[in-house]
Parts: sequence; structure tokens; C-alpha cells
Amino acid sequence: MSEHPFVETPAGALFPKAIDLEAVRRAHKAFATEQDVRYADGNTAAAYACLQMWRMILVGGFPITPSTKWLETVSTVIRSGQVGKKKIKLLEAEHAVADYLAGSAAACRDVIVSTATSSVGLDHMTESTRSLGASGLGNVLLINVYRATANYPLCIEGDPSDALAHRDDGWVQICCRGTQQIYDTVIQSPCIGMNPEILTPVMPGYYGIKDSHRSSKLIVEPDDKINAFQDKWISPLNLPGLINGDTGLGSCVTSKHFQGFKINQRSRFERVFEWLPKIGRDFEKTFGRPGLEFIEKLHWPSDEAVDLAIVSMGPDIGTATDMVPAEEKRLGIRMGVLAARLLTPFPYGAYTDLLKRAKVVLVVNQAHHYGDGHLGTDIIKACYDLKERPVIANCFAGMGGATVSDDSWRAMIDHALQAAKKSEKLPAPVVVHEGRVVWPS
Amino acid sequence: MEVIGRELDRLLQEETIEIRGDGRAGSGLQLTMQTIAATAVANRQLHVQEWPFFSSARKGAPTRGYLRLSRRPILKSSDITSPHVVVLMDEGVSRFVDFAEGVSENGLFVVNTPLDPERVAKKYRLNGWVITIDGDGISEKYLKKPMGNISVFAVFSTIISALNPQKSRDMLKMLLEKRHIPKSLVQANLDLFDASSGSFKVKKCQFKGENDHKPIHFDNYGDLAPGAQSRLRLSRANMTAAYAPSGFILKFDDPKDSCNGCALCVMNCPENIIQFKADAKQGLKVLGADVSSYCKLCAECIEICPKELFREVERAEEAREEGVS
Repeated sequence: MSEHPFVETPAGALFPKAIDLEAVRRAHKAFATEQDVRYADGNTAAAYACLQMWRMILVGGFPITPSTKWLETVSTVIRSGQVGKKKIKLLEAEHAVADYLAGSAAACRDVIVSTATSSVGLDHMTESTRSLGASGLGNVLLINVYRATANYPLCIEGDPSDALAHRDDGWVQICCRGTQQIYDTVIQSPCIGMNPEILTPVMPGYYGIKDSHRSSKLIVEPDDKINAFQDKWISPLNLPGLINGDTGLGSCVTSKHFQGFKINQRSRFERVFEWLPKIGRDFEKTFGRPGLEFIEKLHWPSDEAVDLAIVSMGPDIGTATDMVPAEEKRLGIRMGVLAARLLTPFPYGAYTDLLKRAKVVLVVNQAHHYGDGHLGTDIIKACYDLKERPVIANCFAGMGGATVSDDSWRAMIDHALQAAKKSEKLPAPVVVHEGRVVWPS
Repeated sequence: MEVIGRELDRLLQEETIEIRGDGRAGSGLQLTMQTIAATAVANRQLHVQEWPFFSSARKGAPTRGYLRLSRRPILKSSDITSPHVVVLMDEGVSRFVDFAEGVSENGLFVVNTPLDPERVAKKYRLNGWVITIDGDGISEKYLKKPMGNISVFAVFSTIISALNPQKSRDMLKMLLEKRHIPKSLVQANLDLFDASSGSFKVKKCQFKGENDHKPIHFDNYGDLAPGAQSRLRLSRANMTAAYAPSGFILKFDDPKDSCNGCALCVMNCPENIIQFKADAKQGLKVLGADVSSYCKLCAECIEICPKELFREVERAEEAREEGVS
């Protein structure tokens, strides 16, 4: 019997010179050399941010509405040679994309590999996203353009049920609203994922159509500034890659060790709570715009004493914020508006702290859920230990990307205040559309 | 004109101008909205939000676009239901949508039409300022095809002072050049813009009745049984027959009673419009198709029928066969 032709390398070998990171850096050509004000939609903003990172050299792609324009933009710019040598690989399905990202990310933990997907596209990736979540491959960046997962019936508009169905995949999930916040979040995301204490892939997301196709002013920063910022937070990792076959993907362990891996995964996840605000503060200092935070305080009095706090996510919360002065006058109350940013791991403590003086909390969920809503359930938990637990009214509005009108916001506000009047601490959730409660009818 | 300009300036300064447009895919509506928005962004003092209503991308399908402009950051995100300004890029879509629905009192209507403002206001029963421009007609002269979008953009560059006609023209030039189209075509578009700038008519009109253009009252979702998807899709706002190529219609003919009841047409019709009856011998017998509202001539039935009982005919031919004059 002939000798095995392959030479097995020792476990944990690093192969430090297999990929010349300096050559990767040199191969990047700047997309923007100075700050520029552009007009862009959410998909384009996310694409620009990816293209401007020198580390982002590999893109896997399979188009699905409403994320397709991200892929179109990235492909067009990469193929033009405008940003230097980068590779775009179009694959036959989303599962293949996720596998491609897993393989390439594992081959070199110091480059960023990315893609964008939506809805059932993310579902098709599930086998791999679950593995990736545990893998320690924080250099995978998946842009999730929110769209309802169920195709019965199919609806292409923005509904975060895809992101929320994948909360247990083990990714850091951050919700954005508006073009600028999308761009800024994508720039900061690898700084979290590739932090050696976190090493967890990141899934920044935004609402399909409502933000992916909505255009507004976008400040594009010069590549040099973006990369200098990322270089402060991302250093070469002293970890083995795939080259020697020593990878966490596909390894089989016994039950004796499985839980240990999960505890390790969870411990890394928890580190997000320490690093995310630091990265966000540095971003603000560097670029002069708000950086990452657990919760965006859209309207929040400094003494935190509000009669009604509204908690939701995505662009629709902007409509509620716009209405606050008129609603405060109409109702004679003090209001606060909070937008969820960090979805996973969920920052319970931050909400507990903010809502400790709120009398009523209105949580507006936008994805189908049989209970109190994904966000609602988390807010209930966050408020559980409060000495004076507020009334928590859970509503559903905007499912499937439906518009949430002023009338709908007013109906939900009135519903929450009515529950408080009746001393209902946790009223049954309702569905609201076009200014009326449509379920239960 | 000065009154309109002053009011739009006030809205821009103190509130947000909300604009809604209706047109057809391919009529240039989205391009107009995007060009206004891009010009506004170039003016660093303005904030903008622009987005299309997503629908079938098929050329000729009704499309809608939204635009918000303000000197203050725009937080609001909901659809525009009470616009200050509406655009009707293609009069044909007025058969399917109420373009004036919910327009605020003394709103502004910008209509791409050869008609004068008063006739338009009478035709659509409008209250407020009506601006008409024969965008398609002017475009025929410069581009040899009817495209009202540049003319409508020229109207906006004149009535919203913050856009500034010269800066709007420069932006248009830049956007056209970015598309790498021939220089002669860029120049033709700029000539079209120049010709449009002074070619619109404006008049304040009062023809709206008490019950005209009221927002449709939402009366809950009704009974949606499992399998009700096609009923949902066949909504008033999405009469898919509008997507069919103009002048053609689906025709079912079975003079020799040759339908074999295979049901392939029934299963493959995406709009659920095939009409049939139960048949003791072969299960079912196809009687025809209800082409009144939802047949978009996708040709699935034509392709799939083994007996070739479906075909696409000109409407005129159909009318002749039916004996309709």
C-alpha cells in the first residue's frame, strides 16, 4: 500500500505568510479620495461601504429582491476595476453563497468576505449561517435586507421577520434606519465581528423597500479615513485558518464537548456589550456622526421620566418621532421614542435602565409572532425586574412592509394609554392598520 | 406663479414638501423624481427622501413615486397620502388610480398633457393650482418620442426656487453624461429642458365636488380564506390587464368542443381567470377566460394548452368577430 500522498500538518499551524495582507492592502484602489455628498438609496449606501474597505476582497452573490441592488452595485464597481483587485463570485443559490463565504473566511481570517440577502435567501443559508455563527469567523459580513420570510403569500416589502427568525443563528445583528446610518453601520460592523474577544459574524440589516429603495443624502467618507478607522480596531489574528484543515466547520465532537463550544460562543457574544459602545464612540469622534449604540434615543428627555415610551425599530419609528410634539400637546403627556439598534445579543440591561421611569411602554412589532412580538417579549423581560414595572402594550403594525401612518401611530398610542387607564399591566397584543385595531376585531 | 413659488418656499422652510407622482413604467416618472432629488441633494441645505412604489416592472404598468423635500432632517417614513403636489406623468393611468386622492386643499397638480389647465381641472374635478405642460409633444420634437419626464422636471426647477433652473440643468447634464449616452442625445435632452422651461400653463381652478378624491376608507381585511392569494392580488389598485400590450386581448375558441379537460390552463394561469364547468366525462370543460380586468397576456395558457384553444388577437379583430362597431 502506497504512502498517503498528503502531508498532514500539525493542528493549529498558522501559515502566517500564506496570504500577504500588505499586498491585499496595496491592491485596493480608493473609491472616494475625499468626503463627498451623494444621493443614494440604502442598498447603494451599504454597497459603497463594503467597497471602500481594503480588507473586503471577496463577495459571494445570489440576487434576491430587495437586496439585489447591493449585488448589482458591488459587481459593477468591482468589475470596472475602480476599487482594485477584488473578486465577485456569483453562485447558484444562497446556500452556496454562505458556504463560499465560510470557506473563504476560514482560509484567511484577516480579510472580510461579504454578501447581501433577504427573506428566503437567508432561510436557504440557514445550515451555514448556524455553523458560521458558532465558527469564530467574525470576518463574514452579511447584509440582511429585511423582507418577510414566508412566501405564503410572497411579499417583497420590508418586514424584519427574516432577521428575527435568525436570532439564534449566533450572529451579531444590528438594525439600521436611513441611508446614512446604513453606510455608517456597515463600516463599523467588521470592527465588532473581528474583535479577538468577539470573533462572531455580523449581520447589519435594514428594511427592504422602505430603506433599501429609499434615496436620500449620503455623506461618503474617503477610503483612507475609513480604513484608518478600521485599522485601529482590526488587527491580524493569530489563529489557524482552513489551510491546514484545522477548522471548526464540519468537526464532529461528542456531547461532552458540545456545550463547552456553546458556552464559549456565548461568552464571545457577551463581549459585544463592552466593545460596541467603544467602537461607536470612536466612530462619532472620527466622523462626527452618531456611531453604534445599543438603542437610538430619537426623542428622550434627559431625566428619563416619560409617561409613554415608544420602542420599535427601522424607518417607521421616524414617523412616530415626527409626531411627538403634536402628540404631547394633544395628550398632555411626556413622551420618549427609542429605536432598537442591537438586536442580537439583546441589550436587556440598557432597556431596563432607560425604561425605569417610564409609566407606559408601547412596543411596536413589525414581524409576525404568536406571542407578544419578538421585540415585545424582550422588552417585557427587560422590565421584569423593575421596582415599578410599567404597563407594556404590544402592538403589531407594518407587517409585510405596510405603511404605518400617523393615524396608526395615534391609534397605538391611544391603545397603550387606554390599557394604562384600565390598569392592565400587560394587555393582549393587537394588530393596527390605517388608524384602527384590526385584530382582535 | 409667484404665489405657488412662495407657498412652496414656505413649506420647504417650515415643514416638508410632499410630492406624489403617478405614471407608467417607462414613462420616466421615477427618473423625474430622482433628478429632482439629486438636484436637491446637490443643494447642501436641503434634505430629501425619494422612493418608488414597487410594482410590476413591465413596461406600461402603473407606477407611483414619492418625494419629500425639506430644509430640516426628514424623520417621517410613511407613504404620502395627503401630498402638497402631485404629478400625473401619463394620463392613461388615471383610469386605474385616483392620482388626486387625498391632495391637500389648494394643492398643486402638474400634468403632462396637451390640454390647458382648466380643461384638465374640469376633466379630473380638481381644486387648486393646475400646471399643464405638453411634455410628450415637446419631446417628440427633440427626442422623436413622447417622454414627458424632462419637461416635468423643468417645471419643478422653475417653481421650487431652491432647485434653481441653471443648477437643475447642470444636474440633468451630469446625470445624462454619467449614462454614457451619445453627446448629441445629451444635447437634445438639454434643448428639450430649455424649451420646456417657458412652455407650461398655470391656472387656479375649482372643480372638485364634495365627494371627489377622498381617500379610500380602509375597512379591515375581510375574510381571507387560505388560498385567497389570487383574490388579494386582484385588487382594485392592481388591475393587471393594464400591463397587457396595448391593443391586444386573449381569445378562447373551441368550436369543435375539443377541450380535453387537462386543466393545464387553470393550473398555470397566474391570475386565476380561466372559466370552466364541471364535466362528468373528463372532469372539467374550459369555457373561456375573464379578460375584463386581470389578463395581462402572459401567454401561459397559450403556451400550455395542448389543443391550442387560446390565442392573442388584436382588440379590433375581437370587436369585429363579436360584431361590435
